[in-house]
Amino acid sequence: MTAPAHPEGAAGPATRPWYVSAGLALAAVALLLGLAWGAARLRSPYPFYGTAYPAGTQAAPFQGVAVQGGAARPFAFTPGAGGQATALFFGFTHCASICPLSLSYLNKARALLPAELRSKLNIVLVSVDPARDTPARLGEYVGFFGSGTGVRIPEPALGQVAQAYGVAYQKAELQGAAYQINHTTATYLIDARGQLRVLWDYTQLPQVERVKADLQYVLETP
Amino acid sequence: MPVPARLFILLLALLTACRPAPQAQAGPTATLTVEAARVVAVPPSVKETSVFGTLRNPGGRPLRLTGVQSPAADHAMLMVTRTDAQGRTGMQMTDALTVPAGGELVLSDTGDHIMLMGLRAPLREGEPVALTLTDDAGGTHTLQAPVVKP
Ligand SMILES: [Cu+2]
Repeated sequence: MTAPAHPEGAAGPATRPWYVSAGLALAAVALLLGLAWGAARLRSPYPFYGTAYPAGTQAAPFQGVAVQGGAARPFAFTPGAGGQATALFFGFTHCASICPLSLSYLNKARALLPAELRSKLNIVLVSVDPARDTPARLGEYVGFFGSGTGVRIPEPALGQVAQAYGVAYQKAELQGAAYQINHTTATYLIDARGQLRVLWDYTQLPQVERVKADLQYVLETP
Repeated sequence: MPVPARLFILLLALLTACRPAPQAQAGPTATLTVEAARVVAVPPSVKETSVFGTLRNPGGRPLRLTGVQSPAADHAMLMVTRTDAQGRTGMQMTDALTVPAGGELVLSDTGDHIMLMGLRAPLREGEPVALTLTDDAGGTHTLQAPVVKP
């Protein structure tokens, strides 16, 4: 018996030059890395500091009353209207600690944006205490910490708006006739196409540089 | 106001006195120091606000604070911050806040703090607000916290 002939026969091993093989190997590795990177980008297109919403999450419109141009007028929030983005949160003016600071941090983050982007972002506070928060009071409150819109929505419409954004609130007796409202403390960023892009938990807001980076990305990539 | 100036003012907000009440127990009285004390500035129509800062207890015994008063407000209260299962955050009154022996208690927006309710006059930025804390051994601790816009 003779051993089976070597497929290459007398020609011997393939004569592909070493550098071609090395080049092909490198190209294969680069292709794999590129595919993995592309897949990761598709799944999470931008590394937001806040929590990203799935693409195409439409924000809910709502109606209330807000001080605009010095007087209380009907205010209709149409997400994305006028090419504006909106940082929206829910709070109340008798809130002694978290709401004033939310407004302050959001104003600071906006102030860090390039000048041409600042005017494309509105800051909106919706009151979860319509019994005590008049539009005038809300306007003064929002204006004191920067600029933005303070909206009063009466019940039961407020409850529906809150539900649409996943906001919960509840009255809590404090002392005598005084009460506070316990409430969820997230801020929602809605882009110029009216879509929810990202939310920040209150505890994230002090990192204004990182909030600003999220804002800038969403304003530049509606 | 430039940041260094603001920091300077915050650091100036130091505990000024510590008088043991007559019924205080014998032995060295715990002193309390405070750093970066500040009252959150609010618009004139708002009658409640918070006091933040860091309380330090260099003494060998925990200091249990059971009361707070301020001439600037009808009521001053010791508060804790709680978040319930639905994610709703709010503050509640508490009977006592404890500064651990040789340790500190941070008063903040997300944790323990002091609330002022029924402000008697609009707060002015930069002006100090006096606060007097009482402990369960009868000691009193007076501090000055400037009004700072967050
Ligand atoms: Cu609040």
